[in-house]
Order: sequence, then C-alpha cells, then structure tokens
Amino acid sequence: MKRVALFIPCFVDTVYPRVGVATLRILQKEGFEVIYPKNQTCCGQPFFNSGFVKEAKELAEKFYNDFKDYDYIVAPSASCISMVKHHYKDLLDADKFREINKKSFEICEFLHDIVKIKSLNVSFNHTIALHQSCHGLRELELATPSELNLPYQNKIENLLNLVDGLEILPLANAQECCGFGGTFSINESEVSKKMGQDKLANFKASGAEYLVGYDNSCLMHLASLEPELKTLHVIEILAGVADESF
Amino acid sequence: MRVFNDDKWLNESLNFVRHKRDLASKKLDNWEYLREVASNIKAHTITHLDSYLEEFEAKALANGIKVHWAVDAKEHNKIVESILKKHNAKKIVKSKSMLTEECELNPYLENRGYEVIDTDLGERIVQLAKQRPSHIVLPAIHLKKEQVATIFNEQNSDPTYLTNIARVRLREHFESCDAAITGVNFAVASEGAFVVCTNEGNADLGTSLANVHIAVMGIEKIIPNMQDLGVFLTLLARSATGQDITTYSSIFKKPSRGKEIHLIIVDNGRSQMLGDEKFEGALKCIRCGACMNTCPVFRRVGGHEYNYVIPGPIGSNLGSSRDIKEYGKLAFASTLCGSCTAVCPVKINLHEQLVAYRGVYKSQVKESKDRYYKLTAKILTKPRVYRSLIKLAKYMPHWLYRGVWGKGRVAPKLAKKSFKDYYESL
Amino acid sequence: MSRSKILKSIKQNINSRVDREFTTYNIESIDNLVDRFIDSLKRAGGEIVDTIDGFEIVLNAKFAVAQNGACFLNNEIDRKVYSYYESIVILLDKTKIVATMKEAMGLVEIDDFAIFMSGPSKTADIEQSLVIGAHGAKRLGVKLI
Repeated sequence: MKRVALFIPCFVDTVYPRVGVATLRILQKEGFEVIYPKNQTCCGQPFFNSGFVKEAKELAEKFYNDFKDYDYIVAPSASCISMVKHHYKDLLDADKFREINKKSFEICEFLHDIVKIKSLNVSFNHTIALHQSCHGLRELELATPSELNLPYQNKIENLLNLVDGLEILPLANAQECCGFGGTFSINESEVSKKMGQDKLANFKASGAEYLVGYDNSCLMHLASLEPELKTLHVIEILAGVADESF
Repeated sequence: MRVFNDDKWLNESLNFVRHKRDLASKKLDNWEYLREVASNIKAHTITHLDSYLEEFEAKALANGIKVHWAVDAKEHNKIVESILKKHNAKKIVKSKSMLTEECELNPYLENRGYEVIDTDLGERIVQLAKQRPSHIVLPAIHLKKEQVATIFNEQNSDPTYLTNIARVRLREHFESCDAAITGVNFAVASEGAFVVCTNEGNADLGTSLANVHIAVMGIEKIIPNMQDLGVFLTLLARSATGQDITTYSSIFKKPSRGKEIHLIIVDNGRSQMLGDEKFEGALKCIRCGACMNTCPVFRRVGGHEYNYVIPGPIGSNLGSSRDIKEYGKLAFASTLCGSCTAVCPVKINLHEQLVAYRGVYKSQVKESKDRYYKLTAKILTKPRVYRSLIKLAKYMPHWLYRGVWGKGRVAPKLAKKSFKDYYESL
Repeated sequence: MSRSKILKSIKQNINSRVDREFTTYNIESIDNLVDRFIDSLKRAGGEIVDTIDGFEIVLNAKFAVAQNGACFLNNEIDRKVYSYYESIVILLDKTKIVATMKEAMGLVEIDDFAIFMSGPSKTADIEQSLVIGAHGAKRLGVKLI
C-alpha cells in the first residue's frame, strides 16, 4: 500500500480543517495509507514571496525532512504545493528538489492524474461557480489558462462532473486573480479588496449558491469581504463532507 | 497603490485589449510554438549581443547610416542635441519611443530651447496635459474623451472629431519640422537596417519630411536576420492590440538622397542585466504591452501608480534592475498570478522575476516590519512552539488580529478543532 | 570611447550563451490566398477597388501577405508618398500574394527603404474608439490585377 503524506497548510489546519478531513477520507477510500507528519508547519511561501529567501530556505529544508520518507505528498492547497513543486528549485539542492518534485501533488491533481478516479458515489444538489485560483491554474495546469492557445481541459470540472446533482454555472472572469496574493492583501490592501469585490460581484452575477475553489487562501480572502459567502473546497464536495459539521 | 478613480472603466478598457489579443492568438494554431521560437531567438541574440551589435553597426555604416553609441541617458541626450545643433534644427517631431522617456529627452531639449512635438496621438495628448504616458502602447488610456477635448481646448469630445483636429494641427508641425526622432522596434543585424512600426503613420510622415532622422534604440532591440523579423512582426501587433500587423511596418536601410539617418545605440544599464539568468530574460522584451493589459493590478490602478517610466509587470522588473532601492517596491505590487508570463510573446517569466527581485530588495533594504517575518519564520521551524501559539490564538480576542489584515475585512474564525486535533483523535 | 565601453560591458557580463534551437519555423498554411488577403485587408480598414479613380496617389506593390493584408512596397523615391496623402490605391498582382510573414521575408528586397502597409492610418488612442486617418491615408484601396 502506498504511503501518502498529508501536507495541511496552516490556514486549512486552523480555519478550514474539514478540507483536511475530506482529503484524508478520500485518500483512505482509494486505498492509500495516509499519514499526517506531525512536525509540519509551513512550506515557506509567505517568506519566499516577501523576499526572505534565507528564512524560506530553512523552511524548505524542514519540509524536505518532514516529508521525504513517503511515496506521495498530497495537499489540498494548490498554491502551497506549487511552492514545493516549482519554487523549491530555488531553495533546495537539485537532487532534493527532484525527489520532492516527483511526488508532490495537489489533491485534485492527484485524484485526476494518479488515482484516475472514475466514480464517486456522492451527490451535491446545489449550483456552484468555480473560481480558478492562479497557482493551480497557471503553475499546476489544473485547467487550461485562457491566455494560452491550447486545447481546453479542466481537471477540476472533470472531477466535479462525477458528483450527482451538482451543476456548475458559468463564472465571468473565472480565471482572474481574486486579489489575495498572500502578503499583498496586507501591503496593497486597497487593491486587494477591490479585486476581491470584483470577484464577488462576478460570483453574485453567476447566480450560484456556492463559490467553490481549490485554494482556501482565496476563499478565505473573499469570505473576509463577504461574511455570508458560502464557500467550499472542491475536495469537500468530492469526499461528500460538504454538509458535515466539524 | 491607489485604485484608479474610475477603475471599472479603466479595467474594462484594458481587459478588452487583452480579449482582442486572445482572439488574435487563438486564430493562429501555432501561437504557442511561435512564442517558443521568438523566445529562443531573443535568448540567443542577447547572449551573443556583442557580435550581433558589431555586425549590425558595420552593415548600417556601409548603408550610410551614421551610428552613435551612448553609455547612458545623459550621453544619449547629448548626442541628440549635437546632431540637432549640427543641422540647425529647432523644431523636432517625435514618434513613440519609451527610450526617450527613459532618458527624459523632452525636458532636456526643451530646457535648451528646442521645440519637441510628440506626434503619436496618445503621446501628444499626454504631452499637452503635461503628464507621463500611462501605458507603453496606449499612452492616454487613462483619459476619457471629455478630458481629451479639454486638453485640446475643444467643446466637441467625439473621438473622430478630436483625431481630425490633431491631424490638422500636427500636420502643420510635420510640414515645418527640422528633424524627426523615432524609436526602433527591431534592428536587423544581417541587413544593417531597422524597423519602425506604427498604426498612425507618424514615424513615416516625420522621417520623410524632415532632413534628419534620429532613431534611438536600446542595445536589446537587435535581432539576427530578416527571417527572425517575420516571427516578431507576426507576434507583436497581435500581442499588443489584437491586430494582425500594425498599419505601417517601415524598414529603414539607407537615407534618402540628401538626407541623413542617425542611429543611437543606448546601453543605460542594459548590459548590466546580462549574465544573471534570473533577470536577463527581461531583455527579450519587444515592448508589446500585453503584460499590462492582462495584469489585474495594473488594470485597477493604471500606469501612473508605478513610479518607473515603464509601468506594469515588465516595468516593475526593469525598474528593479535599474535601481532596486528606488523602484524595488514595485516588485511587491503584484499577486504573482502569472497571467503576464502567460501572455508574454517572448515568454519572459515575469512573475518569477518579480519574486526574485523581492529577495534582492529585502537583502538591501531593511524595514522595521522585517522582524515580524523573521520571528514568524523562526517559530515555524519549531513545531512545538508553533502548536502552542496556535492553541493560544484560539483565545485571542478578535480585535487583536483584525488589524493585521486591515480595515473593511472580517477576520476568519479559527475552528474549534484543528485538523491536527482531529487526526490525533482518530 | 562609449562604443568600446558598451561592447566590453556586454562581453564581460554575458554568462552562458544560448544556441538557436530552430533553423526554420512555420506560421500558418493558407489555402485560398486571395480570399484570405481580401478578408485581412478589409479587417484592417482597407478596401478592394476596381478603379484607381478617386485616389490621390497610385502605388505599386511588389507582393502582399494574405495573413495580415499587408502590401509590400519598396520602389518610391520620395518616401513621403506612403503617409502624406489622404488616399492611396495600391496595384497588386494577385498572383503575388504569399501566405504569411515567413514567406514574405523570402521575397523582401530592400534597396534603401521598404514598407509593409496593411490599411489606412488609424488610432484608438481616445477612449479606445477606432478612428481612421490619424496622420497617414484616410483611405487605402487595393486594386487586384
């Protein structure tokens, strides 16, 4: 049985733990031994993105040590896993990077490309609009970015189409950045809020009940501007825990 | 940065230009492949820049073009002035050149008694309004037609009417000018010739009427040969405005009988960008502006919020390269969404360069808030300390951390049980 | 001397030299060159005409490019003709239309000056409203011969 290490970023761990639960359950259901390495803390992205390269390197080395003994590293957070999969090339030596890069996946990416999941036995009788967060889109290729002249494909939609009763409504500017950008939301708060409000206006116009995404950092930023907003991580729907209280 | 006062309109205008670019790029099946070709041509050229510049100069000189070299902006301005002096030129018409903006040529000449008329309509508008261009391709995109009418001292704000007014007024300047200054879109080494692309025809009109044509170019504008030019003329307009090609793509090889063409090759810090793989890619830039049109931050703040002569993603990188202390903050005005990198016709990894410049900035500029980052990072290397603090955070009053994220936001609620708690309870 | 300073700075700074990866390239193959040229020209604001009457000046194209509607002109002594007049008609041999800029570059010959002209002068600098006739021709016609 392959051993999957769960990488649960800090904001998922403390604000959206049900997303971690969903990830754990669906991986166990698919026959993996799932372990949560207890010493994990942070991939270092906020520090790398703020120019603190030395600090980011230390956290990258720690991450490597915490996660190196597993067959796969899976995270329900596209931006964090993209940090590991791509930007660690600037922080770890070539061999360590190659090792980690090969086995790191975002959870939807993992279910779609590695597990090749074909059925879910789950229903969600609601309408949703899908916000396509930047890292997952342009760095992890979870869907075709509209900037590129490439055939249309959307791994997230493929997975959501396995859910009974779920209807995906079109979202205007679905691939436009929501304006979170990590520390950007603090340093450029006015612009960040404007971008978030525009995204929320697009969501309202879609008429969907839930705003769904694969990055809770984006959803958290949007919810901070619109507390009544109903958000879900894709994996919560796929694992059938969307209605579970936690 | 401040959100532009009419950001919905500015955002929609720029987004529409991005949309036109998308339509054009999706009509070309080979688009992604051509980006790769263009990127490779540029990467090859800038890493062989010495030999291509030498080849270009030799051929240009043989064609009768007078070639000058300027180490920096100051020298560029001096050379322009010396050419004007030699020809007793007093009135100059200028077509679009961001290099002349970078060198602040207009004020330099105006302070010395020369009259400089910017002839590109957008540039003329901002010149009369005494503003900087807010975009490298669409200089007046931040202005509404009513504002343009006021700038022209006209009541009628219809764009066709105003453009005709400009045509008539500028035609007088064209007819009476002594010299014409243009930029250079591409300089072809194998031909010793250079290319100027416009939609208005102002470069052609000015250079054909004046006796002296001064063309100015950054060292990175060189491309090896005419076959290469075909790739760039296919990608440039499509990336910039969604057109198949600009109305006029003029190739200057030799001066007309009795006239002179001067070409000034300018370094001004560009050669310093070479050699660092992390940053030299920015020299591939063909100044299409696609990165600005797609950038969700640029679209909401406009070009004037950037304190470097060139705004947007490419400007933040070029400015950071020029002077990290002066312009490095621009590297932080980005959510790193990566859209710029995806539209760049020469595949500059713009958003990754921004992050790298943040590292450079932080290594040179110390700010008081740095200690919070360093402290937090230290805590995160110690899982037990981190965990105890998380436990404490649950008891922290809401108002304590609300301030961190700024006004107008509701801070997220921490869950009663963290994921780790749940996992350990299994 | 500035020239040697700049070249020296370049030579000193270049780190790893990048080789060319592509010896040639393809842009697009086009079946009906004349139809495509006409379509491109119209989209750029030009017209197909069957008479040179009504135009201020007549120019001769060496060839044209179907993909973007541009005519290649290189034989006018007085360069101002390309942008000075309000209306231009270009005579174009319809067997001399090539598909893309790639094929065009194989035919380009420049004595001293050449121009690709793809339509009338235009600008959208005022609120992105397209206006025909900024500084150059307000009207561009092409007569296919």
